[in-house]
Amino acid sequence: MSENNELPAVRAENSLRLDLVTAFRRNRMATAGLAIVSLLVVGAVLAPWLSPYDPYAIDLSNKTLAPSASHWLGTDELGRDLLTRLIYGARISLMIGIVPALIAQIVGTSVGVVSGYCGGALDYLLMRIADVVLAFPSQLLALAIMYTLSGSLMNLFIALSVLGWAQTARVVRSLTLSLRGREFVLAARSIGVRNSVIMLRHILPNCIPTIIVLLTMRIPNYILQEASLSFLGIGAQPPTPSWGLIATKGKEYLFSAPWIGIAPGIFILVTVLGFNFMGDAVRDALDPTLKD
Amino acid sequence: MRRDNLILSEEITSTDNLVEVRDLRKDFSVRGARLFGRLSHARLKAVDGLSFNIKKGEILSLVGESGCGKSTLGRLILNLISPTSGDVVFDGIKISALDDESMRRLRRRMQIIFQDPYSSLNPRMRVIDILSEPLVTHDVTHDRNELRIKAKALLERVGLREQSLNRFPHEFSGGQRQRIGIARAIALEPELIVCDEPLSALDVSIRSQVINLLRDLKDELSLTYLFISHDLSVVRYISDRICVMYMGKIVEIGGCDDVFSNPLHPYTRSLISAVPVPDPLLRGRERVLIRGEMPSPVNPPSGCRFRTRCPNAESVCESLEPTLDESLSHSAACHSL
Repeated sequence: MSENNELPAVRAENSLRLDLVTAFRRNRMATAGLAIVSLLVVGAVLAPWLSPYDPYAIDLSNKTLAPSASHWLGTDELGRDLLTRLIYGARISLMIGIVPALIAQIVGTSVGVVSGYCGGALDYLLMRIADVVLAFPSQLLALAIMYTLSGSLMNLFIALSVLGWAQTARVVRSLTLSLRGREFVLAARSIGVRNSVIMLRHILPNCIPTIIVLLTMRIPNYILQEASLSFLGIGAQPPTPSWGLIATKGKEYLFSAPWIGIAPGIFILVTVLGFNFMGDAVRDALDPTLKD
Repeated sequence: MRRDNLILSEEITSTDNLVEVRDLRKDFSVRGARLFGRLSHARLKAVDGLSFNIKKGEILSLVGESGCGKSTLGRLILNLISPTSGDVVFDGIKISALDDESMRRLRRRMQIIFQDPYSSLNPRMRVIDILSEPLVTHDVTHDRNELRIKAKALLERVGLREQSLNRFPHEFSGGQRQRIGIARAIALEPELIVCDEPLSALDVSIRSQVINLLRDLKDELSLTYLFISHDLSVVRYISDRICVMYMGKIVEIGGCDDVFSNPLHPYTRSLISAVPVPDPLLRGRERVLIRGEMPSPVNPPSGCRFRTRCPNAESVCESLEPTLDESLSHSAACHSL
């Protein structure tokens, strides 16, 4: 009975983690992205200890100073140290990137799984709502929500969450549809497992790689959205050290003190690139089917 | 078994039938995808008015070529898909009339083993969780230690080691995975198991092991099998009775030996003659070849469905649909009898 001799122990429990590690090892850009993101996280967490300056303390005698040894990136129009404000800004950008992305992902996944598994009228209704959300130009919808609710970080969370769930719901629904027809789901049904348990134990865990990939691709997108909305003046409000907001102010001093506008722009660019590189590797490792 | 709130059918005739299928039909709507055009609503009759019984403790085999509705019938009997019309009566209980909760409880008594051992196990669940699921679902036990003991016993029963409990399905070979699927199916000690081509995806060397396992389990647990297959040599080895399907209809049904030694329907004859014979000296038999492909089930031929491929089709076959004589133990739906 050769059949009874089990295969040598292949430790594949951590296959998800293992896939990630190999994907990052193979892809240098991804490693660079991971380094940037880690640096950002460390900066955001340790902000008060990294900088001797207070990001809110106005010092008009030192305004628009050029970069120097004491102010590495110079000071802004109110004499605040620019680097300090940008480090504190990382907190906002990360929070804006992660919190609404998570909310959108949770809502979208729930809608997608229920819609795909239950089907019928409920599916139709949920997907038409998703269509409506997807049909709106996202920036415009965010603008409309921010104008209605007034600019604040909390409202920004709401606006970005409202935008994001529909895309996730679509992807997760189609995934659920294909999983629902798989034999292990049929087997669970023939055992008599309740539908709610099937959705939680059989469908959801098989959607998680895709959900993680969508999450990593959504974070940089949201960081950009926040920056744009703040740049337009309806995101974070002064004196919050948001990168977008700093860039807006910098625009006015673009010729006299160009560092105020350029530095936040570079921070945004590098951060978004870092997340995107990382997201690519995560996608390659977890869900190659999502590749364009 | 709690029966008090299950609906009992009044028309039960004999008690030795575990499953009675009565005029069962299942249509699928096939939509012609025409952009900007009207949708054509063709009906595909996958299962077209079948009536037969499965006796307690027997192995009834369902044979026929791909697309004849075998698997659909298996799923209909387990109520995994709902019929267009007709009834399935399981041990006196009309299952189409059950509410969700009663059906859920009845599922304890009927299980399924699938063809593809790779997609029939959830890739993200450990073997212990796969085997615990039926036990937890039907409140046999929720105690982790007890579940482990029971899962271990199930694994041993199907010839796998205890160490497999903490592994994931992809760490096993096809044959081992099929054994896990079988262990899951017997976990609740059901009465009926629908085996949906359980051997087709396995290597020939492993087939005999699995088929002997299925036979042993049947004797030990006094199971009843509906064995769906297109492999006649396996069917001949395992079956008590055989039911031959063609395009959603039963063309012949009878005892295993009767059907093999004296096939009545020309389709059955051609199927049996197509089975390879290992001994060259015995190969002298006449081969009954059938021509062509199975016609489109969306638009089946009039009268007898097999007439387009039948070697002895007559004019009556075109106008009149042949029927089975259900009073006989071995009968075929053919005019030439």
